[in-house]
Amino acid sequence: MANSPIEEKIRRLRELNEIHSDQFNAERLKRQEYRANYPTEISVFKCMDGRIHIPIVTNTPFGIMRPYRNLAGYFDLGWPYLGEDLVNWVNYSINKGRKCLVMVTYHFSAGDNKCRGCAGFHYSRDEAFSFTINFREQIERMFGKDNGVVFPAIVGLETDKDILILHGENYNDILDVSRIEEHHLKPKEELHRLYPNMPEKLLCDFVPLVDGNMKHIKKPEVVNRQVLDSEHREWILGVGRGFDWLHEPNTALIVGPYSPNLSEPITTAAKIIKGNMDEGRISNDGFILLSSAPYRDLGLDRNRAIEKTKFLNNFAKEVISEKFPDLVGVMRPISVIIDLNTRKFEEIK
Amino acid sequence: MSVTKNNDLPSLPIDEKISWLFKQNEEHSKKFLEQQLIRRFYRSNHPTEICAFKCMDGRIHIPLVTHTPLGIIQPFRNLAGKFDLGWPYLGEVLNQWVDYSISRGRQCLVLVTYHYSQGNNEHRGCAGFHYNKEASFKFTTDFKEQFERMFGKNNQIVFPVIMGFETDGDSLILHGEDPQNILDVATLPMAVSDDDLISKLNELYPSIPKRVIDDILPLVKGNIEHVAEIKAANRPILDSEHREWILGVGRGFDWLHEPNTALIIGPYSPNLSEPIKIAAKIIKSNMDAGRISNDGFVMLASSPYREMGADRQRAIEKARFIKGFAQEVISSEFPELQDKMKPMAVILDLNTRKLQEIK
Repeated sequence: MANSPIEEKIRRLRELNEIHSDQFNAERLKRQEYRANYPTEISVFKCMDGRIHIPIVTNTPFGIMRPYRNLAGYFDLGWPYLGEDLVNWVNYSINKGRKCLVMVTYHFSAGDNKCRGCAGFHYSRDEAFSFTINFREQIERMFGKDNGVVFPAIVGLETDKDILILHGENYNDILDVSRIEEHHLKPKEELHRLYPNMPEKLLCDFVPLVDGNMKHIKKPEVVNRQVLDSEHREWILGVGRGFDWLHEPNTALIVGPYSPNLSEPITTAAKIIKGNMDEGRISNDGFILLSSAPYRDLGLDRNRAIEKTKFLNNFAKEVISEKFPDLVGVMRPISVIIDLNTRKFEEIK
Repeated sequence: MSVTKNNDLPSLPIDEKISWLFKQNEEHSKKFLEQQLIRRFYRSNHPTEICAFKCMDGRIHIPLVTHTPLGIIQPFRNLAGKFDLGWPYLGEVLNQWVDYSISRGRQCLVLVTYHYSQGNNEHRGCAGFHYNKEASFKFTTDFKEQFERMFGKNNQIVFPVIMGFETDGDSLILHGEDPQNILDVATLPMAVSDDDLISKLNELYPSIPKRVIDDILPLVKGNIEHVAEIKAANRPILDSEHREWILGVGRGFDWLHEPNTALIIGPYSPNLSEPIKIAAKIIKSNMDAGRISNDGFVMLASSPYREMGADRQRAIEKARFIKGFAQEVISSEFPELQDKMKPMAVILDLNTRKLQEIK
């Protein structure tokens, strides 16, 4: 798909949304069952990188994890919108009587981190890891250390083989999920070892993520994946929220609307797309600038989503046109709103 | 330090200004607590929730020019009073405000403001709109339409109204539902009766219900009084020019109601560096032109909280982030201002309006 002409890609994008919306609707009962069995609310702070898909690598039904995406997985809870959104999510969880697992993630490549690592952290695994420690501490400052409700955990993702590396409360205690079978470890006991202060219920709901990753990394398509597929090949630049239906790996760079300096991650994402074109990893006849805003209710909520997606599209267009005038001719801007009840998108003209 | 008349304040050394700033907050906090009953009384007589979208310009103080008790009008400030309801954080905060009002059974009056100078708009008008009154006005009509798209036209809950503010005489210009219909408060006699005013407001806003019209009335009456006071005081033109020496970023500044002292940027724009740059440029020109002392300015990052715990902690993280961010923007754009900048991060207790500095 990465090398197909842009018109075909646009058709594919619409088709993907249809397919995933159907799948999302078909999986409603499965999702409800998962929620009933594992009520902990889970959010994931992650890089905008198209290779990072925590629901896929943990075999978790879509619509369970709340994604927060930004350049390099870099965030600051002092960002006004991010703080507001996270507090709303925590309040929602508390109202439902659920605890909150916050996965603070970084990513790296075991094979060639200098080429396939995180560009946002200058391909330095240490830098990425060090950021997650600071961010975890900020979450603890905000909600209180050992508060018994919100538990942040640092998780690394090795992108060559999609392996999760869990870091314990003592950051140097780790669990490499690919080693569990080999060393005859028991995931739940391992999680106890890593997180002695994690509430029991939350820990029980963490186990299926580890089990899911153990299954995922044994899939033939992951085991036999070509290195090229581990390099950047994204042809969609997504800005906004409501992209979890778009879970084709390595297809979209997704910039959440959280940074008060939003032009920065958009610029970096455009640079990566340009690099993909220049290096021939994707066709050079176009890329999609996809702005998205989700809504749950008709009326005000939907109207607000329309204003948001329009703004984000225009803003991203302006940033890209100013920084990369040569991309203007190949940019295909599309504004959509997503109905969260169906994950179906609607294009806004 | 004794209370200094504002006329002298911009020229004082920066350390004295900083002492004044903290003293001002103490005094305001005391007054805010003393005014608790007045505020409650005002609220119970005028239950409509009011917010004002306005320019960051330090000359714009809607509560002051309408004689409204502090803490009633919720301010939204940005460069030139330019906003977009598509901005994620702004949309969120506004939505919460509307939800809060509805949960209390109150309607919402949204003042969409622009400002200009009658005497010399090319010099004392809105820099963010290139001193062009038409451009400012055009923006407010677009923004009002965005409100109508978002909340529904004639929704009977959220009422956006366009309001001009003439900064030489501090008078309000109310634009009706047909924006060409206007009521210039400066033209109203002191003795105008409530009935007369209500009938004028009904003409301007035929779709606005009586409850909300009754709550617009005190704003107009307050402005009539204020305009008369300004005329009587024969305010020098210098005070209508920019003399700000505080660059405020964040929220929770309503205690700082000394006119022409602070440029205030709300944390709403997803391109926050832009208004910060413009504000720094204005402060720089205030120094260069000798309208304020050139030994320093205060960069004040502020974040309000209502409750202890996560709410307060979040305010600390926010104030710290904003301070670091604004410092970086100013240092990279205006290296010459770096040594003159006195950066401060504060959190503000909304129950007392008392600030606390965060190191």
